[in-house]
Amino acid sequence: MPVAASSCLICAHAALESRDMITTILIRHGLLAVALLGAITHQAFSTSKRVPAAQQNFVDKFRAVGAASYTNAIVILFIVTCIGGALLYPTYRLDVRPTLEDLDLRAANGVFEIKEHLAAIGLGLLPAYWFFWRQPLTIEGVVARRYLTWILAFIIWWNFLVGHVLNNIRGLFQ
Amino acid sequence: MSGHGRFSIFSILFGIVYTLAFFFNTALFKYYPLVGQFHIVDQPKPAGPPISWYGWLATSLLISLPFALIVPRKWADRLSPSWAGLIPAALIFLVLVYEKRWFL
Repeated sequence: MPVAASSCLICAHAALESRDMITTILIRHGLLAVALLGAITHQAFSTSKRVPAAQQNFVDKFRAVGAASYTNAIVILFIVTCIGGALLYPTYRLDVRPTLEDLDLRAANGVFEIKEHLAAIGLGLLPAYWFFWRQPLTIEGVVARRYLTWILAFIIWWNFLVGHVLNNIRGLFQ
Repeated sequence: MSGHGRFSIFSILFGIVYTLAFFFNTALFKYYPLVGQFHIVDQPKPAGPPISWYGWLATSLLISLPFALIVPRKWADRLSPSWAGLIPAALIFLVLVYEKRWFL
């Protein structure tokens, strides 16, 4: 096999492997985000007012969880999901963003910019969030706990929805 | 409530520094994915588009973490716990207002 063709084959194989790797990371990033979304939604609803067990409907039961036990899982999932996002970012910057610019989809770029800023602010919030959910829960921390949990819930929902829309944008805006 | 101060200060400061860093586009470093290199100074066009996000995060961490550790615990605990939620909420509002430029 000629040298040029051989090196071309190696390059093509490396590119394919790299694409497989990106796809794997993207799927794992999405799955982790689903788990994170479920955990934070349960916890956020649990910070609102409880009703007696006899009067509980589906939503009441949804929020009647041991909310504090979700905290460590949420912190770890948030960090790992962000690491996944950080690994995917170069591919987005080189492949996806130019495509969005070519298609003149400014709003799509905008929602991604917001996504990255919210992820950063969310990462910064984690220490305070973790502290206020530490056992035993204190009455002085109720307000901070509620604010922080709902802010994180907003961030996670935004980032989840934006991530999915951008991932499927070619199909959505043909 | 004791002990929360340093955690709250870190969270508040991290958000503020990050917001300022991206607003003024001041990153500790930038990553150029096309060439796979980190650089402190801006690179010419052939290096491709930069990613500032990693640098903004590093900048925020490098400022907020030492400050949260240095501030005396007694002083830190004087901060009302509510600020840990209110200031990040205000920062998110500012980010949304600033980024509306993409939708105009």
